[in-house]
Amino acid sequence: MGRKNREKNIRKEVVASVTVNTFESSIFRKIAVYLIIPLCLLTVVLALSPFTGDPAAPIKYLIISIFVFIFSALSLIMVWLEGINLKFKKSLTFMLGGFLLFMFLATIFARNKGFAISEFSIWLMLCFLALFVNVFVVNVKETWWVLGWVMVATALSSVYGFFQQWGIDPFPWATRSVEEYRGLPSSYANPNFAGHALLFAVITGIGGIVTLVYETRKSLIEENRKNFKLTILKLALFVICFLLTFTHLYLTRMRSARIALSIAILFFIFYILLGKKWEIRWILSVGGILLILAAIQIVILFALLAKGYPQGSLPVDNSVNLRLNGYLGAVQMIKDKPLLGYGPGNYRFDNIPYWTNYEKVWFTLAKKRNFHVHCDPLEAMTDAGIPGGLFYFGMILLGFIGGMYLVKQSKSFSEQILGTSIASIFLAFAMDACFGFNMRVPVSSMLFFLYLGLSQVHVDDITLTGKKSKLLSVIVCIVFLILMIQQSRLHCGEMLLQKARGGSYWAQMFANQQKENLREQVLSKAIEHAEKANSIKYFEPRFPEVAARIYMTRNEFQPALEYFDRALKYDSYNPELWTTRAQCCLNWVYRAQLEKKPLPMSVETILDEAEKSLTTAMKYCETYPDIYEGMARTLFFKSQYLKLTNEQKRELMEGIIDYGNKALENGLKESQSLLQILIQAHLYLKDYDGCAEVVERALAMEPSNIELWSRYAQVMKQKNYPDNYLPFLEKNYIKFKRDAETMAPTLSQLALMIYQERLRKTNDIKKASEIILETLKLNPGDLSTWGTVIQTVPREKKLSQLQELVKSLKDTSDIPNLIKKLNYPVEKINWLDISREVISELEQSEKQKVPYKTLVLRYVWIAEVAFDTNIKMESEYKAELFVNLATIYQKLRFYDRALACYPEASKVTDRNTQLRVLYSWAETLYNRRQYSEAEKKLQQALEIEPGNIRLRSLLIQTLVQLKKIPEAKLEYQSLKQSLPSNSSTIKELETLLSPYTKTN
Amino acid sequence: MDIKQNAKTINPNEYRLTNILQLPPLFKQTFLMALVILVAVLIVSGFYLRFGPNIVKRLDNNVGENLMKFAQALEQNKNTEDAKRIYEIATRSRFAGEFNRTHVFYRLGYLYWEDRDYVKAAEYLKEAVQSKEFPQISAFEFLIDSLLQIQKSDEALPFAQKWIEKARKREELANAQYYLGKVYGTMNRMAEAEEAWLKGHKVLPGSKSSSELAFLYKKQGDCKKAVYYAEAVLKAGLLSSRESAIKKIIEQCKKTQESKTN
Repeated sequence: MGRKNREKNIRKEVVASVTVNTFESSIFRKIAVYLIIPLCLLTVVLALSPFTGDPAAPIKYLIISIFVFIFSALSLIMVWLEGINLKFKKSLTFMLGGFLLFMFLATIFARNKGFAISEFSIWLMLCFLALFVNVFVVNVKETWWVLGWVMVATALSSVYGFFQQWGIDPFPWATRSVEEYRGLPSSYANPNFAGHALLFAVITGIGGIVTLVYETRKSLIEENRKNFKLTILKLALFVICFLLTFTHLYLTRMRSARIALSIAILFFIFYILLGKKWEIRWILSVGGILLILAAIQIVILFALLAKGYPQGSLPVDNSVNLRLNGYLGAVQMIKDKPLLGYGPGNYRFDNIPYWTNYEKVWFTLAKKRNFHVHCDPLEAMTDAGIPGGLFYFGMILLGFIGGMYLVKQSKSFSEQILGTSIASIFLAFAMDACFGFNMRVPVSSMLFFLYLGLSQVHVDDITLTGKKSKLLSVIVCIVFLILMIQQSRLHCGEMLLQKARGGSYWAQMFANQQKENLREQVLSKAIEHAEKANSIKYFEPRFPEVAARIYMTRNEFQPALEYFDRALKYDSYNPELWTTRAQCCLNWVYRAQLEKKPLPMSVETILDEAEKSLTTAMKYCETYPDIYEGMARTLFFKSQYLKLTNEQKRELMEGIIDYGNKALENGLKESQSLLQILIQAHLYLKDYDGCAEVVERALAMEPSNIELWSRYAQVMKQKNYPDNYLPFLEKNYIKFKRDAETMAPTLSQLALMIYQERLRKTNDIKKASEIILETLKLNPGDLSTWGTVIQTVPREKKLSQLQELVKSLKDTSDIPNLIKKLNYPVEKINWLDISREVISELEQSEKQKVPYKTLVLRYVWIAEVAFDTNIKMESEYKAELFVNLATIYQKLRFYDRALACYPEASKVTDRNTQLRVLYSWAETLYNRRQYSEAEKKLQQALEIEPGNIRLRSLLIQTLVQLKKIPEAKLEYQSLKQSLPSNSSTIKELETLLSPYTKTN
Repeated sequence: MDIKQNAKTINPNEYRLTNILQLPPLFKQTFLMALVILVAVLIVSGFYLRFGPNIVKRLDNNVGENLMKFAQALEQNKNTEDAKRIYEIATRSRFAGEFNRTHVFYRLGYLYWEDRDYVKAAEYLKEAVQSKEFPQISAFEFLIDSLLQIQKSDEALPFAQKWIEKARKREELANAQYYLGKVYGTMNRMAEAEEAWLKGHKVLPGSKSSSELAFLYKKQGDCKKAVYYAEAVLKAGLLSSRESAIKKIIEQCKKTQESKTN
């Protein structure tokens, strides 16, 4: 029996050794080790893509998926063609399997399953990378070969980092002025991520150099010249790579990486000198004791800190503070879901309710939030619960112990150094992980799993061989083919999103350049891209958010809201998303009211939605000022657009003041629009003191705003012009005088206010006028200053006074052209030419976005003088002049004056001009709600051109307002026949008439 | 009997499964150590859960840069009271950059100076200028002014001298000389004050120093010199708020000269 068994065993061993030999000499295995792994390392470390928002992660994960698929395909070929039975180390397989199992279970129960699945698929790829590397690499020589390529790839990346340092970088980074760029992100896209990856290279470099120095000495002693030369070359390569990576690591200024490196080097020295003689279990026991002691120390430190020791401010800077705050939230999350956690990658979505006050303030100030705990052990537990954390520690320890085993088993110094280096790397990785998320970054995570695989190559462990390995290899290959396709799709989604973002950027640029058509085209394309991207990466809230924002830019609020709701489905605690959703509701209502467009639901419903959104946002981040600004705006809209009792309105106004003040207290940026709302609220409540305070605050922020100054005058009037009013004006006047030219319109407005106040106080017109004349002397070339001066003169004397002033300023060369043209005897002034020039200047100023009040100061007086002088005079161009005056008045929104011009203007003989006048007349009457008059004018105009679309459209609107619905419908039906069905005019009229169609 | 029955029931498949599930020593060792680490981490986490809120509360006030940005936003919105409160917290915090720390002291001092609380202003502004690496040059003016307002000219003198050393721009140096003269003036050391203002005038004719010289010489009855410096002020047009007073000096001097000639 015993003999038979022995024979059986011998036969087995022979078969095994033949299989091993076949496996070792397999060409596919060699391709994998000598070609594919180096290629994988080079491409993953160096790849960057300008076509995705994040230039590193999506492309790197795509490359990893491609290479893992290649490895699976190679193993499939080896199993099927060469009949090799692949052997997996049991400990490694179990540890990776356990980690994957809990990640999978957590994925099933995750809130954002789509995101969890995409994260889980990355873990799956990485774990199999470790397994494949472990299977393919068979000896120390090959291990060093792979490690050599790690050095080369990271060193090349560091070279690129130094080019960044020198300012030579061809990669089109979004910005190079940020702190992160100065930390040399290199091809990792972030200096932190660079630090994580460089740790691997630096420690490997130390190990490599020690080994090669030893081998150089050995070849010198043995006098093996050929070997000596080769070793020297290798040594030179390792030294260069080490120096490059070490310098890069130093320049990234990453503290955690430095600490990790120091500990790793200490361990390296200790282990190679002393530790290797100890039993591994003894080292682990000592490590365990040290760990427990450290834990006790930390606990004591916590207790002391919590009790207020040491007194005074703690020597903690921003990044450490943020981490300590983040850890608290993470620990609370683990406590709430200890078994399976929140699912891979779901920390970023589920962490918001756990924000500490500091995190809320950080979000408020920097609009930033943590997507990672910045402590990998804690994140492993938030992702997959405490069991997930256990296997996470297990993986690191497996690598660490694997390295030490190699030292124990090997007699050669080179192998011992290799083992020590691997163990030190895992120790450094663990230390670095305490303050970062190095297992969630493409390069360092790939390196971790690669090293994990390598660490188990030399470990004597039970191997797993399946009888159904052929079937298994097919399944694995198919799975990784699917994952590769999935990663390609995700990458494509990222590219589309980036295109959509680019579209928004260009739309903004074209809007600034007033290229409306181009803007529209670009936005349509952007929407198309965003929608496609959403169909791919529907679970990523960034995607619907971008689409929603583009729709908002296009004033298409309903689809924007739909996309916001999609984003909130996956990121339901995000205060910024909730606030923007509310802003979308508010903009929708405002736009509809402004354009008098009907809404698909009641204004009240939309405003309630806005309020609900803001209340939710407030629940998660009560320090975010935009929430309060939104709330104030919501209440203001309610007060304006809803039918409310006075008492209700009063309550709303009080609410507005309350929320407005909170927004300002919390540091709202760009608060001018809120201040305008606050002014209205204070005025409604007749709280003029409060109103004055708000106006003064607004003026302090925007002192050149003429409209604010004029509002200030109104408030002061309500306060019965208090004593501090005039000194306040004078103080500001003196301040602006220093910059008279650029502040000309404001200065003239202030001069006018001071003049009025002085006149009120002294009744001495001459004394009061001094300031006006002083202002004119300061800015004789500014038309708004002339406007101010003329405004203080009685109507009948305006022209003569102007001419006198021109005379007194005869030495001044820069008097405006329009003034010079008025400096003639009345009969010689070319009024028509002046009116034309005013219109053209007005049009230009509108394009340049000159404030309305400045335009009024500049041009309204010219129209007045022209009107007063010409109304009684007869001339051949009188009708044309009045057409122009009506246009000027209409542009300046002086509708009553415009109406006064139309009777004369309508006498114009040119048919087209007459039509234009009648249309404008009717439009002005319509806007002033004089609908019957407007109808008459429109009928008159239609007699001239019965088919005019604009006239007919306005007539329909007027008829609707006059409740002449049958006539309106009839007119609409006839208009419908002459226009295409998709015409915007038809659509607008259809919505206008829709209430009447439904009731019928 | 039992043993026999058990031996019969074992089938090869079950045997393979138990073989697969049999844990290797390496795995056991690793798993045990992972468990120890996990327990240690959980203990620390548990204590952090207990003590963390208090620690975090302490850290709330501990981040200079963020508080500075917050206060700046408030200041920009003219909410100076809250801005001062946040700046004050920031002064007790740690900063990544020294420049930011001194900037906080400068802004806080400036806000107190604007509120005419010169004692507090001086206290903070001193901190702003005393850094070796990044003194806030702009803070010197308000510091010296605050010290002069609280009649601490002795204390203001070294700061004025230090300002002259640190000033780099022409305007800055002229301003520093003016303040140095002003400090000497309040100490009744008029000759030194005159010397400082003369230097200030030389650096930037028509600056505040020139104006001070005009007043000084007018007071001393040296109309020729007074008119000379007063005209320099008018010619430069740098001091619009002082123009009327300067014109008055010229007029008065001319009258005096005319009366003398008559």
